[in-house]
Amino acid sequence: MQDITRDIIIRASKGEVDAFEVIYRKCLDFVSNVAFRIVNTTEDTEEVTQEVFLNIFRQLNHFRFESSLKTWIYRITVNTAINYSKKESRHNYEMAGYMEVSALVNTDKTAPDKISEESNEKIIAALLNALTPDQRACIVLRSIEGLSYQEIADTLKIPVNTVRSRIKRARETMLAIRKEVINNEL
Amino acid sequence: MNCEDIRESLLTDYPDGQLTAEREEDINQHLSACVQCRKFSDAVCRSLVEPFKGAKKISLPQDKVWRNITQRIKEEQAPAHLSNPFVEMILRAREAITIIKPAFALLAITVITLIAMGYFNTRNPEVADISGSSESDAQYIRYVADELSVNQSDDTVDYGTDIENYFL
Ligand SMILES: [Zn+2]
Repeated sequence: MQDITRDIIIRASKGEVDAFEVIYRKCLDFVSNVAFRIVNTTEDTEEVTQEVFLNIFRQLNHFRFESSLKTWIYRITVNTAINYSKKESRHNYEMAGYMEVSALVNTDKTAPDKISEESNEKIIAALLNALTPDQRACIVLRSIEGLSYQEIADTLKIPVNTVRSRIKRARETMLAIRKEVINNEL
Repeated sequence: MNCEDIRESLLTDYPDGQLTAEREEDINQHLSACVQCRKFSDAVCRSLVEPFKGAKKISLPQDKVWRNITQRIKEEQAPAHLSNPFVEMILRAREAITIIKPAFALLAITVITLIAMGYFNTRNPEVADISGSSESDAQYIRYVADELSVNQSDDTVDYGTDIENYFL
């Protein structure tokens, strides 16, 4: 990210596709991963990612160098993905996700230390699926991307206390889903 | 510090490493003395924080996605009427108006001439009187009709332009 120069950003903001390609290559990984976790389905990730980069290209002339480019791109990614998942919300999937995690809870009891990547992915999908898009964005930026509360606040343009309360409510919701495990442990 | 005071921190700032060193130390002290909170905190970390640390990274086909993006950019940068269905529709309507214009003008001239002839024959006593003389009658009518044709022909062109203006 640091090697994206001011010059490249300015040229891309004027519509130079070659300059924009530099930004695209540097950012594709984190953009697609954040988009994937917020829409929470692999099949839509490519479409949302394309939409994110088109939004970046269209809006780059509004970038004022007040925040870092990465923060700004995180913001566009989150907003684009949230809008997408609000449009495409799948109600049927919610119950499926809940059933899935309930099944996994039982697996966890027998082998708590040996969680395969595949079942861990199912746990993540089911946990995220229980959240509102706004809560999901905070959890993704914090728990997967490793942003601080302040960085999340800057990205989403909301107060730090709002970030904290969204994370709190998100974790309470996720706790309810995994209650059986907790009860078992307590 | 009691258990209720730190529950929120145990769900948020504490596992996320967002606390000041001082506050974190206070919580650590409570945890070492309180089994319930320690278990709660461990459960939060193991069930709600750790799974995300093992999240697999996806990687999209970089070149393919880039091709799609540049394709969309090209479409957006092309002249608006090539991609905008609304503008396209207006252009088609405009084309249609251009084609039917001469036919429309001719029809208007005919109708207006007939109306004019009828009007002068029935309503204008002077014309009615003149109509007694067949030669001057024919001349006069032809004159009026010619006048009207010229005027109406211009009006008809304006009418078409107005439609275009209205649409655009
Ligand atoms: Zn306690």
